[in-house]
Amino acid sequence: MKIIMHSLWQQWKRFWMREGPPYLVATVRIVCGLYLLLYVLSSFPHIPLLYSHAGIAIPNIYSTPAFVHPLLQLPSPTVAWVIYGVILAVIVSFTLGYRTRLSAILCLLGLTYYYQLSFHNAPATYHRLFFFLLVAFLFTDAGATFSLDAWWRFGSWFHAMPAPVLTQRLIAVQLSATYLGVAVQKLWLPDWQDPTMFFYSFQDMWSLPLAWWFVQLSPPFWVYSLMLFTVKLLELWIPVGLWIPKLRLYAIASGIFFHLIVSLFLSAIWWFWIMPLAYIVFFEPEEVEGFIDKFKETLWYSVSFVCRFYNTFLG
Amino acid sequence: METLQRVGIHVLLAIYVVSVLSGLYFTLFRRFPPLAPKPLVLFEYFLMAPFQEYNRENADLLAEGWVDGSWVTIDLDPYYPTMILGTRTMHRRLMTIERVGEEEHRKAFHLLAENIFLRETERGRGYRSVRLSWETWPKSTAGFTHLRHREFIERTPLVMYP
Repeated sequence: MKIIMHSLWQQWKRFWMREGPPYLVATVRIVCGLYLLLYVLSSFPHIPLLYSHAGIAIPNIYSTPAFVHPLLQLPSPTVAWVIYGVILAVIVSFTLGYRTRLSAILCLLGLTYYYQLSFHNAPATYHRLFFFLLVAFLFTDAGATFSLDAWWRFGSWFHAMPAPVLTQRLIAVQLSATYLGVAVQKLWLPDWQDPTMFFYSFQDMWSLPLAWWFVQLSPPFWVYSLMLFTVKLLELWIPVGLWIPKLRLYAIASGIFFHLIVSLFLSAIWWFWIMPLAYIVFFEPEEVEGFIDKFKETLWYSVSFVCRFYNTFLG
Repeated sequence: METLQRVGIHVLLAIYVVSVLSGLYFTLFRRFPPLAPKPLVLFEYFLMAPFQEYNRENADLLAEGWVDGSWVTIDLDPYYPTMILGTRTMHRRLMTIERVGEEEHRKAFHLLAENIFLRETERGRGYRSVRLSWETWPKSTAGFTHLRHREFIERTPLVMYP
């Protein structure tokens, strides 16, 4: 029993805390940062209408403690622009890896502010995913490489010290849990047993032109049943396949296919693209380091080839 | 200090794993597992809960202003720029506040009506009053608002300001 417990403890520690090259988590930081930047920039230039008393936003003063209510008063348009600028700046600083942990905390505060000010009226799973990702970045120094911090501290953008895999594991586990939870409940949720699910869903506020076109074709209901079955199958398969090295690329392809198809029919899933963008967390850090080394080698080879070509024929 | 930090991280990890498993349990059985921290379970549940059901009808908020002896429809879309139709409609439904309670939901709609009245007045529209109603209508393959006509609409009056 003692041996089993010891072995389990070792596996637990190895899974969450083993050290590896930090390139992977730095790449995820940059991808997430760029994605958050895109998300916040999508409000531009309508900041006063969305986040100030020049619009009609209803802040969440109904389920938050009274001491935060003064912070949730809609500001003047000028103040709203200043806050927007600060939030953009901290997302940029997070993406570039400048004081990464502090930037992640400030991003978290900024997004929480916007959520309580306005987004809470249309709460979505992707809002929570954004919060979760930013919290996950607090556990590892995601700015250890590919960052301004590394550049200033060590004079190299690529400088790298081994770091715990904790952040990438947290994100991987959460992505799997999200897919799995969504998939498993679809096996019993009453609406998901009915082929009219997609027939009606393609006629509502989330439907895109392709959905309207499709529903107007009046396909037989077995087509909707097939779509329903495919969605359930993909959502069950993706979180399992991503953990199996030999099947990982197929799972990634399935995930991209799934998100692409759903995004073409229903706009509700658009901001969920953070999930396939973060699939890199299912690789081991050494694999990503190998890929980056190969990429650097190819890049240097190409640059030197172009220089030699230029010197020989054009110089 | 370092040992304490390491122990702290493992405790946090254990809480996280319990939250994920409890979230899955709640997602499947709609019951809180014993001793599980409720806010974390709900956070995990909402991470696993998109697109659980669908509506048989379409719906949206109707805002009207009283001017020259009649009610005129106010176009709310310009107040929700950059938002797609679904997000706009969700914002107007104030769904999160609906979960808090009926009275809070009514108060929030009242505040919304007041905001619309003030913004419309600033724009020079001389409404003497603004009222909000919730409209539902049957779905149609011809378009989102295709059957949003008097004979199909079911209207629920919400609030009026002032």
